[in-house]
Amino acid sequence: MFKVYLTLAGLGFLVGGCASFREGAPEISPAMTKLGQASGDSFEKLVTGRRLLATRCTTCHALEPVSKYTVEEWGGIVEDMADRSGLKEEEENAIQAYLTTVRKTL
Amino acid sequence: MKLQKTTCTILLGISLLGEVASAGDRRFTYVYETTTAAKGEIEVENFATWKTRGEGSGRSNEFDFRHELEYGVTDRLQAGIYVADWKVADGQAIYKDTAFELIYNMTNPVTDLLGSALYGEVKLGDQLFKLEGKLLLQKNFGPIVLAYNAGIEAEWEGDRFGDFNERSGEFMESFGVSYQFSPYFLLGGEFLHELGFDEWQEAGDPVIYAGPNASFRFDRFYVTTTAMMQVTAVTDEADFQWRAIFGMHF
Repeated sequence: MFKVYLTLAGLGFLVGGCASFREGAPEISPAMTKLGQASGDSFEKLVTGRRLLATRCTTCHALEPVSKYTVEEWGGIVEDMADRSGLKEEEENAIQAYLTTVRKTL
Repeated sequence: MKLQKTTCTILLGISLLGEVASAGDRRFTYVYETTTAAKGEIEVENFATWKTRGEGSGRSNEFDFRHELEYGVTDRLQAGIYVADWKVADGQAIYKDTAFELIYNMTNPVTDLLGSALYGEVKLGDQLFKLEGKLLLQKNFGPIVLAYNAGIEAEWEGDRFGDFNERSGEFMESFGVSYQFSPYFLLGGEFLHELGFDEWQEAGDPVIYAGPNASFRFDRFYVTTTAMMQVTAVTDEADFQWRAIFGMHF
């Protein structure tokens, strides 16, 4: 019985974790790429932003769903957190570009 | 080696004032996470540990302190130096050792199936020399983080530097689970299992500790703390230990 609970807990973590990652750092769709390019942000910049969000930010905390905040709110959050976590300017810009682009498509 | 009170005060002062931005607020105090500092980043962490032992083998209290300076050599390789490990016993501050560590991050706990890293440490004091290696594993499931460490260490001790006539080994493993209630408050637990080998031969009694863990994050600083009870009955090991790690951001 214990093994069943353990397996269910493992599956629960896996599903919950994947859902959390999908909502916190969605994959870059063609629509996002197009929107980003229209704003002067290349696909590579968006990819870098997503990678940094998934690796640097999660060092301290779980990712919040992108839909939770507006573009303006994300701007303030990233600015605050960049200062706290020591992100370089280009890294901050990449995360801002990614979050702005994703949020606009939601 | 007994340090003068002023030296200790200066050491503590430097470590507190010199704290700089840390990319990784720790979720655990005994368990290492697989993530490392970003390239060029410097982190300073201060540890305080209290260990107490009951009446069985004589009541004792020990207060240990550590000041660690970490540097991101690359985005995957982190070097660290324990500027000083020291303890307070009988009202005296006593220097114990200085250590050098390397952590190499292999996979990420969020983007890869399982986060992993290798940990190596060399420790040198006036009465000991120690080598330690660990495998670090971690997986982040959104707000839930699971981490596991397993490692071995070899230690040489003696009455004075260079005369290390006692040797011992240890297998250790630790496990931590942490849940993020909010980005400012995380709660979890840690487990520690140690198995010593005197003269690298005979295994001693296994010692297991378990206890709750909490991490508080504020705007410019964080505190992570764990209280661990010994769940085995090994009398010459601490019955209870409490550890706190302090970090600040400027």
